[in-house]
Amino acid sequence: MGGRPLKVAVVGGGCATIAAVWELTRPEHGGRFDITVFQEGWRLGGKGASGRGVNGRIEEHGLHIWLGFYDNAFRMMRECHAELAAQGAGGLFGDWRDAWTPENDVALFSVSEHGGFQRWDAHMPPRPGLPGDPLPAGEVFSLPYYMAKAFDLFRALLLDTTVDGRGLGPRSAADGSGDLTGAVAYLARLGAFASVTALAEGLGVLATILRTASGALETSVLDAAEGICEQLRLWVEDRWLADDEHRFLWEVADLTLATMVGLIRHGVVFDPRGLDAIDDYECREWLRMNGASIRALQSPFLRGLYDLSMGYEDGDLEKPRLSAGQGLRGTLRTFFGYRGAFMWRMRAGMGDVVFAPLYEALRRRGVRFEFFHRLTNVGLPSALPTGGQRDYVRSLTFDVQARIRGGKAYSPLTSVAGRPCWPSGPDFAQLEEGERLSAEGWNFESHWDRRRDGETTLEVGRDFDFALLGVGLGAVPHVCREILARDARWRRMTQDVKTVASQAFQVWLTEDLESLGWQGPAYITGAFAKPFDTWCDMPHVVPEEDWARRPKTSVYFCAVLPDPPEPPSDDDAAYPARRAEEVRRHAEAFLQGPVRQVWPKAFHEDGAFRWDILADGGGADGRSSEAGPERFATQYWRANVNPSDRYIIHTPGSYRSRISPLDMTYDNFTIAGDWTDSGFHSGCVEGAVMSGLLAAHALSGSPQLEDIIAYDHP
Amino acid sequence: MTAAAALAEKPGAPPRCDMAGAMAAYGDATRAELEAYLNAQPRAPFLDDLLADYPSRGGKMLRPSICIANARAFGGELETAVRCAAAIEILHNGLLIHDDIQDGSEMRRGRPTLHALHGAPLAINAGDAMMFTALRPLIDALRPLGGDAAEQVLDVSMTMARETAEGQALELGWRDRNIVALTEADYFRMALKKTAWMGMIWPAQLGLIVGSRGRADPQSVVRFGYFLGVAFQIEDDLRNLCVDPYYGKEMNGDLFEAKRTLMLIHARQACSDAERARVDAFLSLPRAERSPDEVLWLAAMMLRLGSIDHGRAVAAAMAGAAAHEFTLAYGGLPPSPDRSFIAGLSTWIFTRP
Amino acid sequence: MTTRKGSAGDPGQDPERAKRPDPDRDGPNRTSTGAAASKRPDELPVDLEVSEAVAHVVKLGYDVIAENIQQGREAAARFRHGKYRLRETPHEIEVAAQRLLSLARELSTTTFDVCDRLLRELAAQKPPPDRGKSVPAFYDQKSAAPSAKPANSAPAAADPSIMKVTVLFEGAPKAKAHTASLTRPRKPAAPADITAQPLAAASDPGGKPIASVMFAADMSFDGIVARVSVPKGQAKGFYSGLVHVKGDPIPLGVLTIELPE
Repeated sequence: MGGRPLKVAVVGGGCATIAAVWELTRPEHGGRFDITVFQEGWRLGGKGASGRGVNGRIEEHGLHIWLGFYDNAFRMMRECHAELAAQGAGGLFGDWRDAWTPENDVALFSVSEHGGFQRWDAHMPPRPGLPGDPLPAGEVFSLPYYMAKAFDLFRALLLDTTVDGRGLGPRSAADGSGDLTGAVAYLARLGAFASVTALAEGLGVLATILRTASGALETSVLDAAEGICEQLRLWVEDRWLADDEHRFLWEVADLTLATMVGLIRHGVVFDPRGLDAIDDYECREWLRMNGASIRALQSPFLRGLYDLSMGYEDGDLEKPRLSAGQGLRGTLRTFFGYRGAFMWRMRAGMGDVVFAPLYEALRRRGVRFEFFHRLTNVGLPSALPTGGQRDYVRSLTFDVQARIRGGKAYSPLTSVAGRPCWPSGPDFAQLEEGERLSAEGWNFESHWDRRRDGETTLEVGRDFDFALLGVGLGAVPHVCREILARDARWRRMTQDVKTVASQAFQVWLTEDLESLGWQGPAYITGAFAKPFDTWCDMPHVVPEEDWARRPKTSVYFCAVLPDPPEPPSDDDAAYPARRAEEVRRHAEAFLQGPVRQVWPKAFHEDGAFRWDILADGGGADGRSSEAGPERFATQYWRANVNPSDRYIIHTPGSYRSRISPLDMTYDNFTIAGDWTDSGFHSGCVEGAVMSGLLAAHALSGSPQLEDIIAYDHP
Repeated sequence: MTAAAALAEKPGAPPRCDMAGAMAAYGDATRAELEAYLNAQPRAPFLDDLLADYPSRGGKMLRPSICIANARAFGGELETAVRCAAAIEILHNGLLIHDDIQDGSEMRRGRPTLHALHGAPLAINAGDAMMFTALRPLIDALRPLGGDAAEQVLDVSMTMARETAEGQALELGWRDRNIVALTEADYFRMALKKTAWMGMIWPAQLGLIVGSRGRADPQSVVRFGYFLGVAFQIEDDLRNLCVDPYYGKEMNGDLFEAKRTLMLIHARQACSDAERARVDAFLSLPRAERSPDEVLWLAAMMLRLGSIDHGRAVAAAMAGAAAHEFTLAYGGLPPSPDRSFIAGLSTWIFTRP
Repeated sequence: MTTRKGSAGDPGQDPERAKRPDPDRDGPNRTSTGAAASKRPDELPVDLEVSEAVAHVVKLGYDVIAENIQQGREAAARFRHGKYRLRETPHEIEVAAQRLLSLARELSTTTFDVCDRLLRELAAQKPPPDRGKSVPAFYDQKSAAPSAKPANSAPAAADPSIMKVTVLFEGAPKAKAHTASLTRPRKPAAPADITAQPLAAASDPGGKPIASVMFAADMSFDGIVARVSVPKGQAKGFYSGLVHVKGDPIPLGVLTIELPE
């Protein structure tokens, strides 16, 4: 191909496609790719998009937390910040460490026999390095390495996890010495020293065996490991009385042991397929098969993992479904792969923290963005390929939802509290006939609002050389009809790779959580009551908003949203509003119900919820509305029911049906998204970014696959 | 066909680079930057002349060249790269001053060493001052790059400092405690720590970090720099043994110093028991008592036992390993004159004047 | 309303049409050794003829750098002064636990012996037992959990409320124990918290008792060991004493021994 740049049409502006574009426009490529990103509506981000509403308040799809093992994603963000800084634009978004703060404490809840909750604070020890750092030399992802780490973690948990504020010893203090003597003395007083020290000894020996074993592990050593695990399980079950307050530790031990036993018994450690070898099993069933007790399978640690990955088929909490292979892979990466801190919180909405700087940097690199373009069809040639030819994409058809006044490029960002942000709605003033569109309530992001200004079709050769499809999986059946008609693999993918809808709400409060009766330091909570099992205190975002009268804090709740028995029709225009109303009712009921357990002072003496703590920033006259349930209307909630917004879950065996961006069926086209075969099959940012890197490799040969961190991984 | 030529003709090798021309250009740019920084200080008597001395004596500017070439190969601009290179060169010269004192050397680059000229106290002081002076251009190079790059630079520099100190201690230990039963692995370890880290690996890493703005992995050039450095060191040692004196150093000076070179190690392992006893006796003598006759005997024995040939073969093999590692570390970068320069180092080691 | 229709003719057959490059491979490498295996090339990366001696030396060269890189990683981890320093605690607790354990070791079978025995006993490969795959969904607050007593997944060996006792004698080679088990303490207890009253002679309650009874953990049998030290010249006959655990007034049982004729 001559010197002319290759035109790439990128459809969708979520994590995966933006990561691909970030790769393809690296200065090292020397302008080889001329890229246009087509995005429906007014903002980039996909499931990660966020907006700003009244009082500049952040309005998200749900709770976005970045875990410490998101190395590829963090690397991209750090490069982005560095590039902007080098161009003198560092002041716009600041240092990347201003945007993310480390978070090591998680509160988990377990149902106790009395029907109430028991709360556990888990403190994950900080680890060296920062996410996105190059991997330490010689570090290889291997199951023996993880198994050894599992035992180390168990010992760390022994000291760090507490139950209801008390625990096995004083919580981690800056100086180590007082801790240890106290912890060991406490263990001895417990009278369990024989068991626990033997346990520690056994674990230490096992960890050493695993660590020093070479590739040619003797079967007998594995057997010994399995045998020790059996022995330990007997101790766990026989010794510990049921109402012992430390039983949660043994639940974790139980799960760890079941995992180790399972990896050994199923021969996973040296199976070339790695954890894919057990991906046909359901995760909890697999653990049960390998000896985990029912009690341990109810453990909030496990529950938290399912909640985090929304692993409930059809969004039904009665149907936890997560594949064992990916479940383990995700768990291992989450607990043993994190750098710096276990999780990292963003200072503002994900759109503001992630997609705004990326948009800015990409724009400066020369990438073009066409907003208000919604893909309607991927066109293939009418004839099937013959001879040695491959199939290819011939055209891309878009609804042009609105035109920009003056034919200019749309300027999507707005300024709130001094930073560039994405708004919660389009800037109608920039749109042709904007007043009418606004008055008619055009919703450019809704699957059920198909109104448009016009249509446009891109042709291969004339308008694009390569195409990259990054729409959400839910949209694929609608826009890839031609592909589905002739490609059985794509049909299977849309059937087998499951998605769920989600629900979320955000409240702003006039009092902070401590005054409401919640003890820190953990501010993110999982495995809580249904339906909103995950919530997080977000006081740090309030200063980023633009309140005249600042609330003390903001709290985000999110969860999976069950699907109706029959999927809604495309004409059911009232469907989104109905589901949103449902979420609102859930939220109001939730605040009056389970929240009582954790914010006791948010309730009056008579048991009624204190609606007055919901901050509404004052109405037009600067005064708050009446304090009653109707106050909730001033808060924010949403039902994420757009097909494109559905969250990807990983059910047993579905890895076979995923398609990799490296797939060569179409020689000028590839895909990117958390629904693809990215190697890390979790609907999370890191999976999406890895997928984008693979897509970039597919189109350009770069990056090298070995440079995608943890792509090569059991 | 010589080793150098054979390596250069490998299929797929980058286009040949005019190494001398490139180094001259890199060197000139560095020198200009260096002088600007040295001259920017307010004048201090007894110091400035000393600071300016070693840099003014010429020298090939190998380290700065490696730094600049790496920086540009990884996508950086000349301006930032040159500052970094200047810092490296200033630091290097500062260490040379101290090295010469430690070694008791009397000549450097054809002129008396600094402490020979001005006395040890002033020379030590000048060495220290140079090391501090190196910080300014380094900070200026790093400032626009952000915290990540700066942290990486600190990391790799601390590692280099530690390795270099360990290498020097190792060599001094061998000498002071008259350790004689050394192996090739010992030699490689020492060459790695004492020569390769500071001479090859670290300049490459700085260039990589600065050029890629902290994006590329500094670990990726360690092996390449190591093999290059070891080959360089062996070649240096070979030249010292052969008839042709260079750098104005004394001929066979290494033998007088009882330097544990690869050739000496080989000879000591290959010779007879009686000869070994004589070698060990020689090694245990204080420097002043080692006679030129014994030195000549040792040199002749090494020649006879094939130690020189062995050294040459190993050096060539190390350079070959370096060439292989080059592909791994730099293969993914777009072709450029700078990348060709780096590639050419494997053979330049042998062909340099 | 703007429309742009596709142009006639199939541009796709244009041989000049740009095509994607072939990817390096088509999937991840999931073997446990990973793709980042040792970087040492299997063959020497040099086209020259090298003698075996030189080849050996090059191999040494690779070993040295590999060792250096590994050491450097450990040293860097120790040197790091940043905020996120790996806590030393887990290692130290292991040290403390080891010290405690060495006490227990003097009196009972070591964990290594346990490992050794397990190694020998577990020679046969077992297929994963199917313990019944159905797992109930996560409990909700309203549907309070059933009794939290664990479903015992281990084969019912002994009655868990019984604790096996092994009696060892010092100073009386022919002595016999008539107690094989005691009630297991209701709460986990340390052997040090278990005591026996001085063993009184059945035939002569006022006579000299056997006072030295010490209990220790016996990890190989999940029970306890009682060490009875019989003084010289102790009269023959049966001796008994109540065994208590600290904090519980109800005895665990009676320890009975016999010194035969």
